[in-house]
Amino acid sequence: MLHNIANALMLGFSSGGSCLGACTPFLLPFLIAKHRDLKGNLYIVLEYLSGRLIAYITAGLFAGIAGVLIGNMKISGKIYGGLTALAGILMLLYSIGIMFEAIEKLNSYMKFFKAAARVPFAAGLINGLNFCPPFMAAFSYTISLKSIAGSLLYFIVFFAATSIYVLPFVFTGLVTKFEKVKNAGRIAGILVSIWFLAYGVYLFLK
Amino acid sequence: MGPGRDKIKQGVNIMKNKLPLNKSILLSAFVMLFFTVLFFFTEKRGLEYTVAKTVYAIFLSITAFLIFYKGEISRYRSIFFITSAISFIIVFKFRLWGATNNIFIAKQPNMPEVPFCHIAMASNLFVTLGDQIKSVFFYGWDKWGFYTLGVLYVFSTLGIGQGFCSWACFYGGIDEAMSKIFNKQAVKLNFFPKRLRDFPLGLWIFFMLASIMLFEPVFCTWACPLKLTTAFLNKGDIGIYKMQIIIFCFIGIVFLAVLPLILKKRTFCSFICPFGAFISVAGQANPYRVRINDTMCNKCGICAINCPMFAITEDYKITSYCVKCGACIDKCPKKAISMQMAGFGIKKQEINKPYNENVHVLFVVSALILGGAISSFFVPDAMIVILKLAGIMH
Repeated sequence: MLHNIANALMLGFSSGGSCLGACTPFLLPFLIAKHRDLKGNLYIVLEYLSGRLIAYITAGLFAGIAGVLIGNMKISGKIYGGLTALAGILMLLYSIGIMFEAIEKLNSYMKFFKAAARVPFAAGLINGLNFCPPFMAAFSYTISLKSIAGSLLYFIVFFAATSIYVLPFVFTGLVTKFEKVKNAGRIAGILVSIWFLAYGVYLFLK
Repeated sequence: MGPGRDKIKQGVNIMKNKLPLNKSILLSAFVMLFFTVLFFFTEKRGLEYTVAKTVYAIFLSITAFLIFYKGEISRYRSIFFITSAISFIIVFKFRLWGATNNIFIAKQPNMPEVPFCHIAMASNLFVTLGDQIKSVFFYGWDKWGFYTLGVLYVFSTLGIGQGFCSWACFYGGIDEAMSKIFNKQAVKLNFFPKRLRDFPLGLWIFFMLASIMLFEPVFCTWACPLKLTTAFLNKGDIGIYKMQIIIFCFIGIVFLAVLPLILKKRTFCSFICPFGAFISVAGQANPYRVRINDTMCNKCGICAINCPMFAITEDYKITSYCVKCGACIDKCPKKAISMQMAGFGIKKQEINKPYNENVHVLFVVSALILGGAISSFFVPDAMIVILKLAGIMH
């Protein structure tokens, strides 16, 4: 057990930089598009991380069950493509919502876009299922454990170790008092979401 | 919108920041001396190269003289700046032709790439930053390779700030040359809403994020129209290759040709260039500021018409997108615009300071020296290439 926890910690700490690369494009536009204090930003980061935690628990559970029942399995790249496209759509809704809020027009449509305000949680959930090499390594390893509890614990520890890299994002709020940064964040949010959508569709069709 | 360009030509009395003849000669002699010493200590490649460098030092010295004596920064800077960009293209194309027998996109492997430039550096900042720091600490300066450029750009940011874009960028001259072709603006668009003017900052953030995600310089592989002049990183998927070519062409035609021609503005530099966006933020560390004295300003709009960067707002404030080209300073009929220096008593409540000759001189000399030093890597070579192509030299 201790060996598995140490393994998950090592994998999480060593691949945290890579996780940062995957999380930054999702998280940064959310944080700089609107001015919030540290508490507000912490709330967004925690919301994102809670989505990610649920994704990791799901992955751990899935890997555990797969290990017990099947013994081995492969994940199609189409799933990742589909999830990336979905994340792109959610982000686009959120960014448009923020943009409308900033322009203070089209109030009648705001209700629809306000529904997208829970996007950081959804983005965390989808981004948590990012099949990057460290995630795949964790997934393969936990299948080989052939234990649902062991697999769950492994993914929770892996999540904790990688999340440390995400926490400094809370401080991005310090730059959002500048109007220019907020404008840039809104524009970047829309561009990033279009890019994710296109990239996801490309991966799905490939 | 302010009056049209015609009003500028209808005899508006433009007072100029002229310097006396003796001061102008002294300053141009200083520029000549600086470049003579610089060229003397740099690589020697025979008589022809020494002559070319001497000619270039004289050219820079004359530019300095004309700027100070005639009291017009932008006109003479523009000649130097466009010369630099055209020389860069000539030298690069000549090397490409020598290596591949092709001056456009070449498919041969191991062909010369466009140098890892400041634009790529800005758009790929998060990816290269760590490597740059490591290279400074662990390698000799001559072994930094392209990371040395990163240090140079940081240094220039501190030296002349956003002025890099109008004095030292060897790509910006292309945009500027296109914007100078016609005398009149076909479409009169001189002010831009603040929200839209921040588009390049958003685009820069996007390129940085995408570069982290894919671990490649996404601006270079997907958006740089200058990549049309050479090979680029994608060597695999033909569908992606075609898509990249379409995007390169679109950005090149629209932002480097059509819009500069009809708007008489540097639209690629204003709205696409990631380095322009980067330096609008990083350049704030630099002490030089172009300011409008609102007690002297009559809000005629001539500054905004002449600003190539949409850097002047409708309430006549100069934003951080100003590249210190001097166009507004030269054209202001009330002489209400001048170069100021932070740290010399310029605070927010003290922006209405008069023209300061020392600051003006210090900035122009610094900018010309930095721009001249960077362009000296390719302008003398371009002269030799032209002479060889003309059959005058073998």
